[in-house]
Amino acid sequence: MEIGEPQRKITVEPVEDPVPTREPVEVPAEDPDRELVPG
Amino acid sequence: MNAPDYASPLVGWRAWRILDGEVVRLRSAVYEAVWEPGSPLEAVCRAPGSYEKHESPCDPCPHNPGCGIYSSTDVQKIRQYLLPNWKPGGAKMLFGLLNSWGTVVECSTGYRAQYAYPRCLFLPCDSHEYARELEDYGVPVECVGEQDRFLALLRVAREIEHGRGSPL
Repeated sequence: MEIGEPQRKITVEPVEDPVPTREPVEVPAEDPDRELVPG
Repeated sequence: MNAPDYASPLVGWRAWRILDGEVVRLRSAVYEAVWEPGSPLEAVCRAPGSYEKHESPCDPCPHNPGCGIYSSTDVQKIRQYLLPNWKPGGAKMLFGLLNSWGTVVECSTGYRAQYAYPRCLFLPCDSHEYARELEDYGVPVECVGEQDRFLALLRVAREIEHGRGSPL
């Protein structure tokens, strides 16, 4: 990719992480006392 | 300790290939670097004998073209990758915006960066079947056809102009 001539070298330190964090999916705890309904 | 020059990522345009294997992944258009979801890609200098001798991107770089993860501030520059492929039966390509940070060599129409991660992805409509799997990257994925492609580009360019990141 053509991006032209180098101008300067800089440092970029983002305050927020640029990589999105995925929300953990909550899995409902298994209820041992639940009634099994035929399906 | 020196203060950083910018506290938000630099934003530029980039094209990728779609790697269609057991899982769908982004692959660099020129090199075989695979972009993993949830992790930034880190640049490696490919100049002969230069591995581990210095941090990439180096400037001046003994490699021609210079090392680093490329993005362009001019969306027209990615046309050379997209247009021959943006048709049925062509190589699976997509484009999008890239966040770049770390040590960055700022060039007249783009960046060579140490770290990068996609900011948003635009898929050709005939590749829409990949959209769901590309959501693994956790960034917006939008299908755009030939007709509405430029409307989408304008919308994103406006967002960047008024939002965070560097102006395009």
